[in-house]
Parts: sequence; C-alpha cells; structure tokens
Amino acid sequence: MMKDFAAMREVQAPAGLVANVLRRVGLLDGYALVSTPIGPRFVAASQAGITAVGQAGEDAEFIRYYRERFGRAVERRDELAPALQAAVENGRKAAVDLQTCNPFQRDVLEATRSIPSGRVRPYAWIAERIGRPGAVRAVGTALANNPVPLVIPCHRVVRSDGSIGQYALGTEKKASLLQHEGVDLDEVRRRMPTQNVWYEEGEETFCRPFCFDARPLPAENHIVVFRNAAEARARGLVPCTTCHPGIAA
Amino acid sequence: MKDVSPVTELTGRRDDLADRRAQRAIARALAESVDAHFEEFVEKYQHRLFGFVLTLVGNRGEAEEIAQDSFVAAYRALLTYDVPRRRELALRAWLFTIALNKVRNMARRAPASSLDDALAEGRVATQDTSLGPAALLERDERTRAVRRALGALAPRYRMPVVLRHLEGFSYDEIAEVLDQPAGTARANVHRGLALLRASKELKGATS
Repeated sequence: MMKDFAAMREVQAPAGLVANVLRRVGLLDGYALVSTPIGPRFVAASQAGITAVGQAGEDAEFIRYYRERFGRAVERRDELAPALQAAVENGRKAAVDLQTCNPFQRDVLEATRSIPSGRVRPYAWIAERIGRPGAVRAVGTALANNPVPLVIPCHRVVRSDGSIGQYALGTEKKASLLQHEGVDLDEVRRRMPTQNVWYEEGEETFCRPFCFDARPLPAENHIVVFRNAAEARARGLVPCTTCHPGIAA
Repeated sequence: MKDVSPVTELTGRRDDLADRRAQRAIARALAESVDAHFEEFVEKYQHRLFGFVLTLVGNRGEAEEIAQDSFVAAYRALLTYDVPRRRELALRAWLFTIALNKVRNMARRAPASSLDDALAEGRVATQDTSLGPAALLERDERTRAVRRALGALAPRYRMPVVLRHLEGFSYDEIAEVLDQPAGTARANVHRGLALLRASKELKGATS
C-alpha cells in the first residue's frame, strides 16, 4: 500500500499551471516585437505599464534577461504589439512601470520624461531639477540603467560641454536617435556650453539656448541674447517653465 | 503504529527536514516580498497541490482549475497579511486548507453531481478511466485501483488518509487543515487505511 502511495505522489501538475496562476495574479508580464528608429526591440509591460525595452533576439534570451534584471516572469504576447508600438512612439503618454528603480532613479527618469522630442538637456539640468545639483555623475549612472530607453528619452540628455555623452545602446545610436528627431548636433555643441539666456521677440519668457529646438535657427527668428538670467529678469522677462533658466550651469 | 510520516519512511528523515526548511525559507521570502517570491512558492507546491486535489476530485480538468484558483486565492490572502503573519505561516497546511475549502465549495455548488455522491456511487472511477492512461500518468493498473479505492472512501476518511500518506502531513497538520482534534485525525487515518485495505476495488489486485 505504501508503495502505491509513493507512485501516486509522482503526479505532475499540468505544464501551464504556473504560468496561468502568475498571469491571473498579474505577475506574468508580456512582451512583443516593436520597430523603432534604431531597429526592432523587444518591449515588455506589466499591468502597471512599460517595464523594459530590450535587445530583440532569441525569445529565451530575452526571457532570461528579464528575469535576471527585473526578477519577474515574462511571456511573448504578440497581441500587445500595437499598444507597445504606440507607447514607444509616444512615450510621454505611455504608462511606465519603474518598480525596480530606486527613488533617485525614478526622479531622474521622470525629469527626463519631460524633455520634448527634438530638444536636449544637460545632465546637470536633470540634477538641478530633482534637487540634487551635486549628483551629476549619479544622474549619468541612473540614465545608463534606464530600463525603458526610447519610452523615457534618456538619449536627449547630453553633456554640459555640448558633446553627446554616453548611451546604454552606444553613442552612435544616441546620435542617430537625436538626428531622427531633427536635432542638429553641431548646434547643440555650439549652444550648450554658454551661460547665455535667449529671448524671442514678442514673448514674455526667456529660455536657455537648448530649450529651443536644437536645430539651426532661421535668420528671421528674432532672438535676443542676454549674458545671463539676471539681465533678462532686469528687462521684466520671466524664466521659462520648461527649461528653468537660472538654475543649472 | 509508530508516529512516523510515511514520506519520512520512504525518503528518509533528512529529506523531510529539508522540506520543512525549504518551507520556512519560502515563508520568510514571502514575508519580505510576496510579488518577488510568489512564483517560487507556486513552482514548489504545484505538483503536490495538484496531486492532492486530483485525488480528491478525480478529474484532471477540475483539479487544475481548483489548484489554480487556490494559488490565486493564496496570493490575494498573502497581500492582506502583515509581515509577521506571512513569516509564521505553515505554508503547506495553509495552502492545502484553501484547496480543500474550494473542493468542498465546488461540491456544494453542484449538488446534483456532488463530489460525495459521485464518490459514493463510484463515478469518479469512471471519470478517471475515461481520460485514458496517457492523461493520468499512472504507473500501472494497481495504482489506478488504489486511486479508485481511495475515491470510494467516505471523505471523512479519504481526506486524512490522503493528507497523511500521500502528502506526509503530521497529525497536527491534518488536524489544522481539517479543523478537528489531532486524536480524531489519527483515528480517521487508521480507520481509513483499514477500509482501503479491505475495499472491493483492491480485492484481487496484486500488491
């Protein structure tokens, strides 16, 4: 009788049981292939939002990477592709799940999210925005570990000297993404290092040069350049609420 | 009869201890973070829970559904428990209690073909064989006969026998799951085993 019981103990649960349970409680994330300006990527999401934008390749490899990096299970769900594609194309509106990030990383990524397409900001600007002006290097590290590149546009953060800086996917990809958004990298190099603030005639606000589209300004654009924020204030102008001139160097 | 778990008899006390240690480790991990460790918990108990439910309901489809529902219920409950409560949980007994309640509720929901009636009439056995041998993953005719005999036992004997001899629960654990005194659990296990040995399903089957 005891031997019979031992044989009965060897019953195996059906193959899909774990996945079904995890899916039902929201612990099984999904991913699909999405096309981006820098080629196809696997994009994954939990019930809370986009969790990862990663290397497209072997499914097994992505599933392993995902588990190692986020400690969660993920399965391919091609039906998610249209929604994930839209999220990558319009990252500002997409829900993003940054559960695996620490509060500092989250602040950095949220500030980075506010940078519009076609614009760039220096690392120091992000550090100022999140109230940690001394943490420029840590901002760089947080952006290098951005789990959702493209959706949170860490490629729009460049060095204060106007050079393009590092990118998790390689400097070349960063340059090509910025160019895809119409950014003129020479113009960035020219404007970024200056302390000047700019004011477009007829407006009431003044901006840092990088707040304007980082593309060559046409001649008919009536830009007035001040040496610093104080001069602009003295003229009765107010600082722009997007680029916050007068904070970061 | 010696109070030694049959699992211990078969696999050695060291494995039983290892199992208890693993159980405590998962409880501690779940106390830390339910979401981070719930998968581990399901992985660890899926076969045992499914096997347990299958023995009780005799149908793989229903057993899978109940096992899934039990894990989902366990997840939701874990989220409502505070850290000390999760850390102190006797996970296996707790999980099996959830499953057992689901089995009972299912029987209550469908009184026309209730589990107990089905078992009393021996219909579970018919359901079993209708699924075919491949689906049942059973070693041989003899195991099927034991399963049929077990299915034909009254639930008050079947459940303690299953918990004791298939799942290796202690009498205290059985008492907790079935919500009865340990002495009653022990008596029912012994009575159930005696009934099983004498059952008509096992008459003529070679051991």
